[in-house]
Amino acid sequence: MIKRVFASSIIALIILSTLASSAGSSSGNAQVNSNATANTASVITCENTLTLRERIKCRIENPSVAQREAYESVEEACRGHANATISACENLYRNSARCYNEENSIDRKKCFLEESGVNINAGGTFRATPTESKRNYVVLLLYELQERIEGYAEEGKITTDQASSLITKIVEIKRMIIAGESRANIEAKIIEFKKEYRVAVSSFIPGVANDS
Amino acid sequence: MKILIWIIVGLVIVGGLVWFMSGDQETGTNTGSNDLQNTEITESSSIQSDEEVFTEIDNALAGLE
Repeated sequence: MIKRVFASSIIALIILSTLASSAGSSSGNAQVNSNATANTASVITCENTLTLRERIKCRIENPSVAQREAYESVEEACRGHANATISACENLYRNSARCYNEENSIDRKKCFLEESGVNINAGGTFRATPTESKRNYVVLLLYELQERIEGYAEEGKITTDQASSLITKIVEIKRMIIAGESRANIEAKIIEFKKEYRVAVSSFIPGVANDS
Repeated sequence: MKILIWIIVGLVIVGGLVWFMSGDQETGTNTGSNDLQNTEITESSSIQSDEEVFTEIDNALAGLE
């Protein structure tokens, strides 16, 4: 009798625990799946968010939207300027897109110099280059940093909040450069950006002091 | 006669001002080019690491007016 009660209670326990675990896991999965579906279904565009930082964060979290909007929308750094400036800015981005596919960093840099209008190779010097070309060159270098920061976020080395804050600062600096603001103003903003960048990357890039 | 004296005085003052201003500008140009000589961008320098990109940005900004 005791044996039978013991055996039946063990069987009942096994059946109940199996039911409970399967119910738990199925509802959990259903929740994750429904969340995933909700995310992909709800975000169609990042353009309707109000602030620059929100738009940038939205694109980091939704790479497929970001990829589509890269072709359909005006580049963030080019916005808010006169029409001629916007057009020149978009041309710079369009023409320099090929540079970011260069594997070798020196080749990439040569490409940036070429696309920004700096002609060192023809015996010229950077000093002799027109100011607009120098500004274009800094914009392309900043975009290079932006791409790297996006990569760090994709790899999970920094959070999306850190990435969106850093990229927002980069876009603001690029806007200042394109708007022709003074070197002193641009440098002040870059110092601020560097501090935040070093804090964010100090955990995975050796030799980066986060107090500078 | 008085008018002639005033013209000469005026010319001396204007000449002095022009000389003074051109001297100032020359000093500024020299300082600027010394800065740039230290920060010239070359094709061969690398932008492999993030810090090298920062250095390149600083050097390029130093070349801005």
